[in-house]
Amino acid sequence: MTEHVTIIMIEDDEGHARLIEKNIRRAGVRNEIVSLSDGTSAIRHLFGEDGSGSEHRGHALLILLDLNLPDMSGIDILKRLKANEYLKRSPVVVLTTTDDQHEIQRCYDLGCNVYITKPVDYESFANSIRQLGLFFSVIQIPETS
Amino acid sequence: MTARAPALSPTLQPVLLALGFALLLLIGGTSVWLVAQTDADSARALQTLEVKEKLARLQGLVWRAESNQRSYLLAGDPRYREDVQADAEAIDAALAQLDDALKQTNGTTQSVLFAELRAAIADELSMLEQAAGRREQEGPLAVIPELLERSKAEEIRSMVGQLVQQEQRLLAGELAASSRRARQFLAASLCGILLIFLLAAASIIIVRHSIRRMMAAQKALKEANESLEETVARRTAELRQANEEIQNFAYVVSHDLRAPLVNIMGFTSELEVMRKDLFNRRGAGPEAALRGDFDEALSFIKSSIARMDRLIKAILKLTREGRREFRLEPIDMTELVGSIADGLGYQAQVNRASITVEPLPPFHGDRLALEQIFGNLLENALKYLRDDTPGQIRVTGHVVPTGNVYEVQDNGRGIEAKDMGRVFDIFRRSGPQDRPGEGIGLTHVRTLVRRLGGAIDVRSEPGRGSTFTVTFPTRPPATMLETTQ
Repeated sequence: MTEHVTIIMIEDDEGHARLIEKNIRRAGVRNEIVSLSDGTSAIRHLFGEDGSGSEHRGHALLILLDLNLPDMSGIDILKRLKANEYLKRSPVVVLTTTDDQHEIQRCYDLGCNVYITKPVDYESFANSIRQLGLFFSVIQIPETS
Repeated sequence: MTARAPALSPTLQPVLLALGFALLLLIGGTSVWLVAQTDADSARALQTLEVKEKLARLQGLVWRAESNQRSYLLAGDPRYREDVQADAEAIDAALAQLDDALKQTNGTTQSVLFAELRAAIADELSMLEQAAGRREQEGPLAVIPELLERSKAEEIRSMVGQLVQQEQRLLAGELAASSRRARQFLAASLCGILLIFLLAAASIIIVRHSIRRMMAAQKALKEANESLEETVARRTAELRQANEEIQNFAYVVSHDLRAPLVNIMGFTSELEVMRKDLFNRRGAGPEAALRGDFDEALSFIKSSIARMDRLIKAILKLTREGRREFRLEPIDMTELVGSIADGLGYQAQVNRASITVEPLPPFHGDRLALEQIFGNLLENALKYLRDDTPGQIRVTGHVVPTGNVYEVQDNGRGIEAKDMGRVFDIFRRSGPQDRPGEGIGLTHVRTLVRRLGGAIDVRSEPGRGSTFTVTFPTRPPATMLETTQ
């Protein structure tokens, strides 16, 4: 993954955010990580003050999304991302504790690119995140149009 | 909802009916009596006519005897004398008949006048006889004046007339009395008929009244029924909602509990890494004991987290089962349980146990749920065998009128009486806690059995074995077909 890709992490649990960041770094990912802890600030950051998302034009974004946010469902953010003309091509990785089949199907239906269930077992959690980091280092991410 | 009417209570109805029938009987009796009375009256009138006719005949016979006697006295022809004797005999016979007839009409009361008449006739006849005797001795003319003087013809005639009159008076009196009684009875009957009409009217009023009350009651009942149905529907909806809420709650709670666990586990692991670095740098020394304490604390934290994670996963699984939609199909239970037993074959061999599946009645249910139910029960049976005895597990089934009964019987360690009720509770396990498990299996089984409309029960003798009995209704209840989603 080229250096200019920004990882936007939407995760309400600060501990989780910290652990994810640590483990991504352990995989050798050096990209900038923007951590957002609730839906409202995430929406503001992603779509800007005017709600159009044009601020990110020309940037490459990778979005890490938790579904269980205190103020809204991650699903709503996913819907808005995939409906936005600037952001629709940015890969979205849903990283959440939910392992309900309906929920997983729904996310893929809405255009999520990867769905990962956070394991409770730390070893597998750390492992998953590290592998995700490795995956980040090889994938191509388009710039927002 | 209905007006009270103590005066016209329906309980009065039988009394009114009884009264009406009694009146009808009375009227009927009166009619019968009237007919009988009329018959008796006409018979009585006939008797009187008979008596009159007999009296007239007697009078005639007396006159004929007198006339024949006179002819004999005048002509002296002995033929007349024979005639007189024949007449006297006929008079005797007529008197006897008359006596009978009179006795029939008025008993003995008239006998005074009749006796006088009888005596007068006897005198007359003896006088005639004497006159006849003197005619033979003294010649025809000597007896005539005396005969005329002594003749009682006039008295006899008058007495017969009196008798006839008396008889007629008697008849008239009796007829008058009879007709008076008849009139009274008729009046009574008319009153009775009037009363019957009144009773009928009262009955009609009572019946209409009670019909109105019944209709009102019926209407009230119908309304109550309708509101009952509404209440039941509302309660059912409430219950369903409550159930959904509980399941949702369990789901959300178990879900949200996992998030902090990730942190606890994650940072514990981070600590572990830091500890490794730290102690590696410091090397051996007085910190060796500290390292041991550190390891112990960390391992406790980690095993507790692992256990908590398993429990939360179990709850999640249960709530998910509660949400799953059942697909009902006819299932060959012998084959289903048999294949579960085959799948446990290796485990059974390790535990030195045998599983026998007898022919089971088929059932209309959800395949996955039934597999989970019997799989769990068989696994439990295998898990809690006694170490000193070869295990024997038997699955049997039979049909009862209300449904199918399946039994899983083992000769394992059994369940203490105090634990019987708890084994189906979540996270509760019976006996020594020396086997792996979270205390979730039987809870899961009970949830599934209940969703299939059935019931599960256990009998057990500690140290001898347990029998789990699953009872399913022949047709699953309609509510089972509804899913909570």
